[in-house]
Order: sequence, then C-alpha cells, then structure tokens
Amino acid sequence: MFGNYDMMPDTSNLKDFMNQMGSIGKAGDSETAGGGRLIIIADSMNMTGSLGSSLQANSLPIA
Amino acid sequence: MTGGSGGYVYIKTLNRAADNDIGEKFRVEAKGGNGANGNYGGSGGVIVFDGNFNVRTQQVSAAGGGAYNSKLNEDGCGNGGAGTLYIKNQSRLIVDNENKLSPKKTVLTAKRNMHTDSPSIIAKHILIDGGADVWIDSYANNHL
Repeated sequence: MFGNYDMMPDTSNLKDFMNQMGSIGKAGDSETAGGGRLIIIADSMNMTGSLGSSLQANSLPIA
Repeated sequence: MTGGSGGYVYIKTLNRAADNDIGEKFRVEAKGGNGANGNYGGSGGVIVFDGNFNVRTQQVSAAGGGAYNSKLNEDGCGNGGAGTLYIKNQSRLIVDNENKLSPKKTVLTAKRNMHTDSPSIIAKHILIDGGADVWIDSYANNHL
C-alpha cells in the first residue's frame, strides 16, 4: 500500500510527530518494522565517539 | 519483504549552560529499510535539530531504503523516497536520498499565509539532492 505522508516537520510544534506515522510493517514480522521515535530534550549535547557511533531511528531491514 | 519507513528523531537543546558539540564521526540516522526478497525499500524518516547546532550534512541521513535487486534500482522505482532533515536555527531543510534515485515523492506541506492566501516559505534554505523527488503542497490541498 502506498500513501502520501507529509514529511515537513510541524515548525510551530516540532515535538508533534504524531502526523509522521509511517509504515509499521507486517504484523508478526519484526524485520519489516518501521523506525522508532527518538526525542531528546536537554540543555546541551556533546555527541562524540568512534566511527559508527550514532543515534538511530532506522527501520528494518537495516539499510 | 518491503522495508519499513524511517523513524523520527527530534533533538532540542536550550544551551543555557553549554554549547553543543557533534564529533566528526558521530552520525544521526532515520533511514528507511532495504527491500528484501525482491521487494521495495521503505521511505526515509524525519530528523529535526532544534537548538544551536552546527550540523554537517554528511553526519546525518534520512535516506530511503534501497530495492532488493539491481533491476529495481536502475530506474529507481523500487527505492524508497527520501526523508527530511530540518535544522531550525539555520532554517535549513535537506531532502537527500544519498544517490538512490526514487520517483517516490517526498511531500512537504507549506501552510497557507492567511493574509496573502499563498503558500508560506517552509525554510530559507532548501537542498534537494541524491535522487530525491519533492512535491511541495499547500496546506489546504493536503490530503492523505
């Protein structure tokens, strides 16, 4: 099934990700699951690490 | 199996006590899944930076997933559509499918300006790259 989903974040309320619901995959098949929601609110962030360190909301199968 | 769609990453900082620092090797991703067993890739997700960030585009990916086989990749019809990266402090919107050509349109809504009845500007800087295909819609005509 195909559909059109607005991919423009709601700039007036960036925490509103409810209209970003995309594929949740095939029931019972975790390999088709969509990416999750990752919300971080902090004073500051220091993101360091070796190659491959990352914040990920990737879906499966891994791209 | 068809790849799932990428997720949503929202990072907000207030920067009252300290500045942000993103190391050169660090990555933030909301990528679509790859197709498997002859199927299609899923669309990319959404990444939002809301704070004082100096983001390098090569550190961030919201690309769609690739199709399972090369035939579907040649014309791109099996690749997932690109997701979006929005950097609020730079008013920068990036739609980059990382060289995976895709006819799947990334729909972006421009809300209508109530005074001029014309679509508003969604960002000061917009970059569409890497095989992405974008459709900018007006709020009033946006239907799922």
